Amino acid sequence: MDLLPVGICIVDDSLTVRYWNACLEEWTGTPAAEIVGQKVTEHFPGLKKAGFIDRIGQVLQGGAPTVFSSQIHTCLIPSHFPDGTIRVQRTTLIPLETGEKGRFDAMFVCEDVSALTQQVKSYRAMRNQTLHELEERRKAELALIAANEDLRVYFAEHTSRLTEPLNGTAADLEAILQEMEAEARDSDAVREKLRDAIGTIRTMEKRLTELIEVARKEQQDVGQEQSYFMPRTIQGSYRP
Amino acid sequence: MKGLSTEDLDAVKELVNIGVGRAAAMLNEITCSHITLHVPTLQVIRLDELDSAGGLSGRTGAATVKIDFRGFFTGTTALIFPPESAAALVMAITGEGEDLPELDAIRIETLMEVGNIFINGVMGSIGNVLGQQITYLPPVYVEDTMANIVRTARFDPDERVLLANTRFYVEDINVEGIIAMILEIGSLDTLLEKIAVVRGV
Repeated sequence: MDLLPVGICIVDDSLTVRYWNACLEEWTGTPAAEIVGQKVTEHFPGLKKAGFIDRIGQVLQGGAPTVFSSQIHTCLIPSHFPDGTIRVQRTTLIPLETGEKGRFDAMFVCEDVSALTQQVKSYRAMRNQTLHELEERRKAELALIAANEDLRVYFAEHTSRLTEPLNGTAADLEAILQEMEAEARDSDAVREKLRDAIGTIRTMEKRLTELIEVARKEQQDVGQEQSYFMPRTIQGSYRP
Repeated sequence: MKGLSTEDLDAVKELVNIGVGRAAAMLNEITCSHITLHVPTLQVIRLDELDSAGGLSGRTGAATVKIDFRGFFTGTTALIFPPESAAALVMAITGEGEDLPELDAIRIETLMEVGNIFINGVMGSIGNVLGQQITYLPPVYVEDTMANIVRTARFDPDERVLLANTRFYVEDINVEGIIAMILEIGSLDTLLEKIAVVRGV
């Protein structure tokens, strides 16, 4: 048992140490010669607590093996790493039959789970962080979908405000062209229609500018770069 | 097999309740929580009925802590939970507060201790009635479907199972688990005979 990578300590029913392996010597710094023959509770008084001593007693009466988890107890036989941190252990107590009927010894099997504990805690932190980021991403995606829908509705509303007047202006200009071709033009009426058409075109230019600004702002908000082209033909080059 | 009377079932249920009470006291001693345990029902079924009678049929897995015992009284005692309930119970007992109820390696180890205390309490109560030494193996954790756990058990499908539904009340949570004591043929008769002697019947 000296070759095992776990701590092994055997006590009799008076809690006197009968065996102390090399692993426990290294972990605790207590040589076997110093503790064998002594009461384990003298070296480790924490074992006298009710939650330990009762359960150790049950094992010494031949009861079932008993597990002491690292999360509830940290360790039964305390030991520390060179940097001072405590060694986290899972301990199992196993009854050992002695040669005498009805009498048992108890074997402490102490496993170092410090690295496992740290890994689990790191995993939990990483998992929680990932879940948090996923939730934030989900919220952002929902917000983007809502914003895109608002933009779609906005553009749908304003498209009709552009196309209807433009259709009217095109019709007026066609009528002017027909009158000119038929040489049956009324100059005042033609001027009036041309002014109306120019007014409509100026209004459309303004609305298009607004739309382009809205779209540009939306693009900037989601971090995308895009350049917008405004045709010079509608940049107000005509003046009546 | 000897027929099981209502009095027999009540006597066995009383033993289980005594053991459960001891286990609750021990758990309260070693943890920072206040736990109460209650065993509302106890029944005897066949082993091949455990999957359906346990209420965990069809689940992807059940979190199980089990201890085998042998000698003149032979069988396996298991404490069985749905995994998410087991995680919630462990977290309530250890006061972990707000975290996902997930059974990782640390919590499985803690569940093994909780199950160990619980099973030892029940088996200790039964062992006192039997008056003879029982040999136990160390506790084992298994996460598998009930059907697979039953299938890999070394027992015959005709073996009897003492099935007790158990409620754990911790803080503001209520977790339901199952104690299943799978007994080799003859062991249940031995237990009932011993109980009859104690009762003076």
